[in-house]
Amino acid sequence: MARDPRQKEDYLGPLRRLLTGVVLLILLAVFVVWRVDSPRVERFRAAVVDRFVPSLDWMMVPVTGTINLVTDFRSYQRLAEQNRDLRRELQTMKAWKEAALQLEQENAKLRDLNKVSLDPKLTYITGIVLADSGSPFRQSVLLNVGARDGIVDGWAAMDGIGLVGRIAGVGQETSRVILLSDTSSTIPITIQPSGQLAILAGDNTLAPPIEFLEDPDQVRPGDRVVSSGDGDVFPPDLLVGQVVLGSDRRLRVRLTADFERLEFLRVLRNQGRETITDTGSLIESSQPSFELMGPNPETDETQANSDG
Amino acid sequence: MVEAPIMRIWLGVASYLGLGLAVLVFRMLPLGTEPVAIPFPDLLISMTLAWVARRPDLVPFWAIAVLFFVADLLLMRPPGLYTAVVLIATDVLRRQTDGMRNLPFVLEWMVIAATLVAITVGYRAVLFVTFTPMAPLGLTLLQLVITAVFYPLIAGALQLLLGLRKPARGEVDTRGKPL
Repeated sequence: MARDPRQKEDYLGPLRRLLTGVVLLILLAVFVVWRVDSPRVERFRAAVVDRFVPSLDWMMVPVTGTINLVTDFRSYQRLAEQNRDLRRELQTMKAWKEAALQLEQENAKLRDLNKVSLDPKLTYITGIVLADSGSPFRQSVLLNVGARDGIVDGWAAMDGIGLVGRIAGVGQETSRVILLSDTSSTIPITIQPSGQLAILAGDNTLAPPIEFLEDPDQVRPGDRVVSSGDGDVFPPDLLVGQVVLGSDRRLRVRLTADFERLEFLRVLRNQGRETITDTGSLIESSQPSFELMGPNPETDETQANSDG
Repeated sequence: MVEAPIMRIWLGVASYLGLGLAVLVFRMLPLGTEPVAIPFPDLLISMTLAWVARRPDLVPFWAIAVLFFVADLLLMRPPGLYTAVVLIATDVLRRQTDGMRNLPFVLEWMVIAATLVAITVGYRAVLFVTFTPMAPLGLTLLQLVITAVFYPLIAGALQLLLGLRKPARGEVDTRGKPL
């Protein structure tokens, strides 16, 4: 009696098993292709996310709004306590504001004296956070700006104050930001007063550890950490955070950006710095050549490069 | 008259896929973007295992494949691998369902927990062999334990809301075919 259902399935049995095998093979093949040639599959992934997530916006926005409303409501209950804290904070902030204003004036005067021209290329595109990674193991968010808006892989993303992460994966209408706390995020940093270079490597916490530090004795908790611009990963001097001493006696960076609720992110346009690689070609191309009426800079450069 | 059972199966499959997508979207809401110390139970996998253990006829192979592949893509996992591991595990579980019918719930829970462990071990083993960067082990184990502990809650909720339970012995569908 118990065998009855199985006998019925016998017609479909082999076909089913074949289909199962084929699907498994396809899935494993996708994994192997991803492992071997990750950029292509990641581009496919970006395209899928691009198609999928914006179309769910109508559902995700109200749900997020409602849940945020509820959590906000919960925080209203501690209103009196918060008010007291805020007032105290405001007092200290006023003092700082005064100091900042004075410094700003002084800075403007000095700039004027120096005829400093700020880098006009450092402009930004603001995007709204659509979704987060959805997994406790990956720290990333999805923005509603993409290739359509001129976003390029590798650009820096900030909230109002501090660095948040780096663009990794651009679709037509969306792009993914790998946050500084993600385990795959490593960025070059400078620790401010001592000017030491190091690497900030994310480890799934809000205070990623500092690695490859040359002389830990010169660094003390409270030092400012900014991006160093090494390796052309980021423009230099973007605020990252403050050095703190972790409970495991390691030097870590408490990130300045408010990671609790990322809503709007600024993506900094970074065209990369021009680098001077070959002195010969610079001198050559700066001198007018009399043999050719219209000197072709491209051929000049290729010759110079082949020389060096 | 012939349509009725087919409709019911499709309704079951549709509710599985719909709930799966809802869980997926809910997880992607940008509510908390800071890293968490204690992960939420992995609802997608426990929901799937509950379904397979109780009504395997309502979760066809392709539904699991589609849902988990989409999840792989959206949750930034290596695409395909986790889906393949889950498919193998659910297929093994599917073969056991006949024997599991008369088991008390505690034993069903044990079987599910063992399946969860097998999925995690298999997944991480392949990642290890292929030198793929992995999530931290501590966090993975913590999520595994939390998911296993929360299984009765999830199975209970499914039973209450969608009537997902093991068919009694001798129960037949509308066409008189034994379940």
